[in-house]
Amino acid sequence: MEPTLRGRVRDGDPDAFGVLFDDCSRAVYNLAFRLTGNRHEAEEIVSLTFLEAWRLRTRVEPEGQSLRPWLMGITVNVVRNFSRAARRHQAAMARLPEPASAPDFAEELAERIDDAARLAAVRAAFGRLRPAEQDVIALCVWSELDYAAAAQALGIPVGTVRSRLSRARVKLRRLAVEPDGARAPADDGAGEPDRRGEQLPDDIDTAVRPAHGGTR
Amino acid sequence: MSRDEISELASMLPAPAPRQLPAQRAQALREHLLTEFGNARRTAATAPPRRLTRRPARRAGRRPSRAALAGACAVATAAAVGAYALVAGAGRQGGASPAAATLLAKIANAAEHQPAPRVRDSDFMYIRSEVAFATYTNGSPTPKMDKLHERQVWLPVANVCVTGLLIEEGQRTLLSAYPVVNGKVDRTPPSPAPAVNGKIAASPLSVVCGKGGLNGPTYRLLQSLPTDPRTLLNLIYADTRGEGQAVGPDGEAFTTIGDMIRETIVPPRTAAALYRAAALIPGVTLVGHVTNAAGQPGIAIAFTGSQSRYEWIFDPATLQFIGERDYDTVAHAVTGDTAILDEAFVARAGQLPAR
Repeated sequence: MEPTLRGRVRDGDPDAFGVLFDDCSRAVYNLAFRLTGNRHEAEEIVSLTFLEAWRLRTRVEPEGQSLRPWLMGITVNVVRNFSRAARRHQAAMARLPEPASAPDFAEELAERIDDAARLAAVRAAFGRLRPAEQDVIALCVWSELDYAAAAQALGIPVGTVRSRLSRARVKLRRLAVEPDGARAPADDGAGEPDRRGEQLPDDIDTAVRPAHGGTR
Repeated sequence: MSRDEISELASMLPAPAPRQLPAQRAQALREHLLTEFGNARRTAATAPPRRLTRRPARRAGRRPSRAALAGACAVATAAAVGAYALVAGAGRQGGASPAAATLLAKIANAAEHQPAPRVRDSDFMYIRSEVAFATYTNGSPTPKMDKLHERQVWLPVANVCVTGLLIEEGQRTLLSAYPVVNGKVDRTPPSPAPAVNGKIAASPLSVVCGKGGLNGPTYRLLQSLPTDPRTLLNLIYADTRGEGQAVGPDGEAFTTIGDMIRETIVPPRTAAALYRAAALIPGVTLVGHVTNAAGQPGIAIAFTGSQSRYEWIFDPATLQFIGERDYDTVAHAVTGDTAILDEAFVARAGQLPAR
């Protein structure tokens, strides 16, 4: 019997990873770009995602649908834990060929055509959401995964995906009413990078406590 | 309801235009990755999966800035990310070998009785060491050590967004949570003022200022850690959950503690807690009669993974941490060798301590 792609990935067949790369690398790159807003980082994240996928391959269930949600879940984790992933794969990353300095022409053109002001507005609004909300937006709205696939990618229950999306929707509606970067209402502080940094000891604490409301 | 909700979200937050990797670049990445996997597979045929040798947390690689910054993210967002979240550290059974536990208890006591220095937020930790690390070129199973050389770092005491400095092999590298581009720190102001053309350094994902994380801690972060060894160890297990396949959760906890004592100055109470926490980790052993990279004799606390052994070396008389050694137990070769020569708080990056 012909082994499935999942089976071959599990067994560490490099060619199966070639298939995976052909099927998913664009989606992974786009997700990474949308989460980081930076092409150079997005490219490193693509490499790290596949290196992580190789490392974690034995966790793939032999039966199931597309591996895309699984890969995208890895991408989100790589984005959120960049330094750890980069360090784990430091040797492989060091061997990676350096990118050509000049972007190719088609890419430049696409960038110029892109509506810069709109992109900036989207980034600003996106930046006001909590990371957990950003993840579900990036997966469900921008990458068009369904709720179940997003839940699988993030390792959370489907109900949590729903509630994060609802919360993001409420927040975005409010932002739409008060445009131009007006300060967010008081309950919204977690979206601000400074505050999050300053609160680190508390955050460490909540990281080991399951019932942290803000991540639901 | 789901379609409506998604459409409404899509109208409020339209997807940024899709980007593509240039075709040539995608092809280069693909080839590189498949070569890596092919090599890993060949190596695996004769040996268990290789765990890459850890280097100092902030060792300048291709992008030194990221190490310091995203360590903070790792902790700050742990609660938000499914796979790493939500473990109340399960009390693991057992602990270090009796000999190792005894030594660690002594090391902890010695550390605890060090005077606690007065440190200002604006200060820097200065650490001078001698280091050599191995690389496995092109997937070769035999590590090749680089030359032993001096390394000096200046790391901010309170905030990873303060620019630090690394001098190694004659090269000066700025260390920052912000991107360092062409030798300059790029502090593009935070949102809501994103730049255009996809070069947006301002999203909250990019830089998190503050005390850093477990893998790249500032002195203030170390001070803020719990001093109860079990609580601290549970925190470490929770933060590293799911990582370190080849060494397992215990090895990952051990190397994370290593990250916190390496190239940092650890506050006395935290140091004591870290060593007492290490004594609770199953698989931690004692290795007698080792020497650090400077040739000082020492006694080591070690953890052996499937292919490597990681050793923290202590002066047998003073019980001070004096360096590290990593050993590839399959190739029978040293893969990391360090000696701490000097550490002090100084007022400015680049300043040497008064003698």
